[in-house]
Amino acid sequence: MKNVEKFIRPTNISELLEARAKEENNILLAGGTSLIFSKDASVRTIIDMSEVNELKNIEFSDGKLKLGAMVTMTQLRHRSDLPVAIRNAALSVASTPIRNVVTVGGEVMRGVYWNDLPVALMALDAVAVFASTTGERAMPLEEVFSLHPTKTIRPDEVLTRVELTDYMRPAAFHKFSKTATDYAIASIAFSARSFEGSTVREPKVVVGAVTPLPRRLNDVERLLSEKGESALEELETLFSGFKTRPDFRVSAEYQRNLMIVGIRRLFRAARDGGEE
Amino acid sequence: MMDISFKVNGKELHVSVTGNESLLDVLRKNGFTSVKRGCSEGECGACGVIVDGVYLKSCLMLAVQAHGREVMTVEALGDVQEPHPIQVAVVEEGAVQCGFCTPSRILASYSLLQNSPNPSDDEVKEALDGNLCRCTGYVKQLSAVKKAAELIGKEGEA
Amino acid sequence: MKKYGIDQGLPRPDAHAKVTGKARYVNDYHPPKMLIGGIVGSPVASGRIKSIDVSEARRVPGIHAVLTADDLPGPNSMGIIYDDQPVLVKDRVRMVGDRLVLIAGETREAVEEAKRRVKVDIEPLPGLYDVTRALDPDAPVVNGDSNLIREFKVIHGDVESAAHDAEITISGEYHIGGQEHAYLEPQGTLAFPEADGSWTVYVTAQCPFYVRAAVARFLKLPISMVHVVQTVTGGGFGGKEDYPNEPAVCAAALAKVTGRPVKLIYARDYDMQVTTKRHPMVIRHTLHARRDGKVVGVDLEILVDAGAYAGLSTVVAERANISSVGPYEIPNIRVSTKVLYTNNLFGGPYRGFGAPQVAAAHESQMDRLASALGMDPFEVRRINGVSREHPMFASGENLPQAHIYPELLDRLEELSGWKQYRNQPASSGRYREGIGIGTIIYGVNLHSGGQRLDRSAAYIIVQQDGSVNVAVGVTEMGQGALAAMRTMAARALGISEDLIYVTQVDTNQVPDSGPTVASRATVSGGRAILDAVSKLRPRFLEVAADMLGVSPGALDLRDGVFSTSDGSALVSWPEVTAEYYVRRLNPAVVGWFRSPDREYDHDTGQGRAYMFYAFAGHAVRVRVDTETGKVDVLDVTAVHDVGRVISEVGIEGQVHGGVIQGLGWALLEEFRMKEGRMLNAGFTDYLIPTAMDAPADIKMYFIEDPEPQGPFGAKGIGEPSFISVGAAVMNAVYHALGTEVDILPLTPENVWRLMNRSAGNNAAREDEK
Repeated sequence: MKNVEKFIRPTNISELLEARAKEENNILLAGGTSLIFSKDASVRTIIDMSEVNELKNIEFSDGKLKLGAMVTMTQLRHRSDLPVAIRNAALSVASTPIRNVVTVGGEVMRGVYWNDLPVALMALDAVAVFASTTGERAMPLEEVFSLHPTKTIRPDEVLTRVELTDYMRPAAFHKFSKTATDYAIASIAFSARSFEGSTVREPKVVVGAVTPLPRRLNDVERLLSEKGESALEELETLFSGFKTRPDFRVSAEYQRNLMIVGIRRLFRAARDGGEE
Repeated sequence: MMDISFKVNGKELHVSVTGNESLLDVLRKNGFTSVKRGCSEGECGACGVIVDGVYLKSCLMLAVQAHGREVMTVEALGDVQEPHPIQVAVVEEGAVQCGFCTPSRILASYSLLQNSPNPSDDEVKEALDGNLCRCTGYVKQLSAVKKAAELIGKEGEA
Repeated sequence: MKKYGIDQGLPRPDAHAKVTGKARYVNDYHPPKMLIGGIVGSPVASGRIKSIDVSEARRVPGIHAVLTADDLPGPNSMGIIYDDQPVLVKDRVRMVGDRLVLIAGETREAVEEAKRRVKVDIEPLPGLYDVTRALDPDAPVVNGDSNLIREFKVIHGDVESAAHDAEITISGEYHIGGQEHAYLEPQGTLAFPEADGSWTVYVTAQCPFYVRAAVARFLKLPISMVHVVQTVTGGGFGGKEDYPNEPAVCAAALAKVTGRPVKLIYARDYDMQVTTKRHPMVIRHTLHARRDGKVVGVDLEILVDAGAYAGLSTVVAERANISSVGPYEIPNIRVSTKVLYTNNLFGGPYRGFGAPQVAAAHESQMDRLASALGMDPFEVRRINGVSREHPMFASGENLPQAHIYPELLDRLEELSGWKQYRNQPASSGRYREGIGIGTIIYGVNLHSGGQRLDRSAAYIIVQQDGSVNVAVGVTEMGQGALAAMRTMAARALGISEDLIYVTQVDTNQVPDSGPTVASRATVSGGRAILDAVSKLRPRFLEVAADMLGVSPGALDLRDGVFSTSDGSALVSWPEVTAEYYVRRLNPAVVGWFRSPDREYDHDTGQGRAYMFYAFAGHAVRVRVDTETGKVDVLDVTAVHDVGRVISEVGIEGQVHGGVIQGLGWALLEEFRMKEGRMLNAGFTDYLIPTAMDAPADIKMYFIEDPEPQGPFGAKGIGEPSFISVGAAVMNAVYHALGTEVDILPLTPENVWRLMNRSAGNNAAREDEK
């Protein structure tokens, strides 16, 4: 960031979108816990979103839960009317002073392996809303992460919110790590439309940290849809060939072990009430 | 270079900063040495300050972000003549050893007690989870916060 | 209601400065014209330097000096015991971060820019990363002629015949990991030449006297011309015992060449990579015992991974050597402790100083023996532990306080709730609970091998208003030394603590008092104070007696008042000190402590190894998640043999700190190494416990059985508060899982692998194939 010459702090969305479209080599600043490490010498303008109040809302409207891009992890963590999976994912982020500033938008757009929130959001079929001066477009998170998020967003766009429908469906999230504030070794989220006996409808299984970006485990979902709870005993075969992100902290077998253990636990937690 | 101004403990500071300077860099350069540099990655918490009422790590915040804001360091809370109840509690409970993590932890405690005047033990642990300490083993620090809550409650002001 | 302590309940003297943010650590000083120092270190652990090009670095604006080995203004050597270590490497690099270039510039940015422009060409050479291979014929020789730096032994009785007669043998090979001190304040120093040719060095350190000697040697100055001031020190734990010599000499070199003050502060990741660490050890421990539980012989081989330079590794190994048997009377002993070079991290002093690693082994072995014989772990320790009837330590000494060990066992068993948790450990679903103990004996103060350093001074000046200045040679690094010195001085004199002002160590104010290590601050500093007071007090008693017209023998000074026993004649301390000054009498004295010479045979490990000993024990209760290997600590019990508590709040803080640091070492703190490089340097991935990891309960009990050689009977607590924690954790996990534990740390993956190994599932790590 050494060549930055301009610092702008828009006070509403249209100013923000104007700046995003117009300013030369601009970068968006949300909470501001990672820009300090950037070595990008091409950035000339920092656009600070902290005064754009429209981005700070948590809203229930049109049958959706809408999380503004500037909502912080601390805010999420303390809202008892939000899905427990989202609250747990927010609480998993680092430590209090970092949760106080890290935002929904930052968690979605940063694209590092340790982002916890998007794992939970993706399991709940969250949709990212990107805005620009020419309008808005919505993209399911799964598609956002088909590439690095900085590549799926267009240079003139800003992530303004994340929307969830059917957000109170059974769901659970867990971060496996050595300490509470550690980066995830594996993070897992699970959701389902419903459970009946030992069967499950529309299971969604998402992992993070063991992959560079959050990933849905379609094979696991298929097996669960077919076989219900008994699929949990057959996960080893599914994972035997699973290629994980090399992590100098742990071995690949241990990563796989955590995924299997996590899926089993979260299936049951989601079915039995949401707390892991 | 960008010119910014912000308040530290109520006093206005005008500085020119580059895009890769942190708030920690600027505070220390301007004499606020109570804000410590203990690591290079935003993990130790010794650099904690309160900005516009939010407790955060100053080593992670770009200096420019502080423009127009109010920063609080531990000097604002109290001094030897008139210590803040949190400072009193930390001393009485014996919760300070080498002291390097102490100023930022006191601010983290202050921030907690502003939002939650009667925190539970778990709330206290969570509020201090970003302040590493190698000397005390945390036990007395947690009890110091509970004691501070008591002292503040008695005083009738936060 | 205070249960322990001879202190008067004042806050520690440095508390106010620290809570108001006013305490000044070395990085908080900015003298005029100060330059910032920086170091360029080797990116590889083993190699030959082909070239170092600093021409571009020198041209960076704001840079005042760029030094390679050829540019040093002093001798290029700085090994503290062995002459095996350069200030700057010229030919052969031996560790990642090995110093190549020193830089001084006006700003941190300029220095960082100059560092980036230094061009280093190193031809990699095969390195040695496995200490078990250090003595193989084809192993690369890291330093000198051989990878064996030194061997220590203990030989007592005849272990071969004991082995022959044994009814049961327990053998284990323990791989015990090192540890990073992770003091919150990184290493740092500020050095500057004074106008009169002397030098001043501000440093965060546990031994300003070592720094003074190193800087004086480098600058070729008389010792008297180097003034070292210990700044408020943000944690040490042994990591600031010898290591600070290195940044100090580097800063002095830069300050000499530039003529300006130079401040050199280590960045955290560099600090973690290059500074001293707890030594990883491989310990091969064999117990020979009878079926009744009595151990008749112990046979040990200990491999100490010293890293590329010897540093103080031989001193650490010396303690590990004699401590490796444990608090047990064993008639036949053979220990071989080998200190070995590798290209791994630089081994050095760390709280416990070799004892924690060997304790992990000796305590695990005792529990395995107990298990093999169907005995309770306390029972097997009662059978073998030292006691009044069986007082012999591994050194052949009869311990005058051996009776304390059985008492410690009783207290530990009771306070930990052992019987409740041991025989029916809870287990539900994936969780298994367990409880384990670790007990140790610790030789307080320096080993016989370190005798030449073992003296301590206290300079006391009584002022005319009755206030007192005390300058001691032991350092405050957070552990509460200043408060303890103040308490002891006040108590010995008989006045209020708030009249006494104790200063941080300044080498111009007090004679060389050795390092603040080996839990010796209370003992060596305290004894020096008692010596000083024993000389001062009579002088004031004499004046007071004269003022009152009584004989000095009839007076006592207590609570700031001189009085006869019937209270009929009395005068206050300040009245006497005022009169003392009127009479122009000498109000100052330097007190001295010198431990008695001790005989010790280094070839057999027999003799008086230490001045005296302290016992300690921990019980740890754990809950293991058998699916992930994660170990949660439910509670910890600590029992300490301390002689006398000086300050209750102070000692509690040490016990808490030792427990948490011990749990960190045992469960979290690991080194992810790749050819000598620490991949996880930094707090992001070298994890130490946070507030969230503090166990719900830490119970403690202090046995106060006064030590005759300790001031007020006190023994010291700095290290015993740590040493047995790791061993207790290992035994707790052993109990929880029923699986033998031979590795530390017990990270989740390590525990998971232990469980799989014992279940016969031998999945090798794919990334190790």
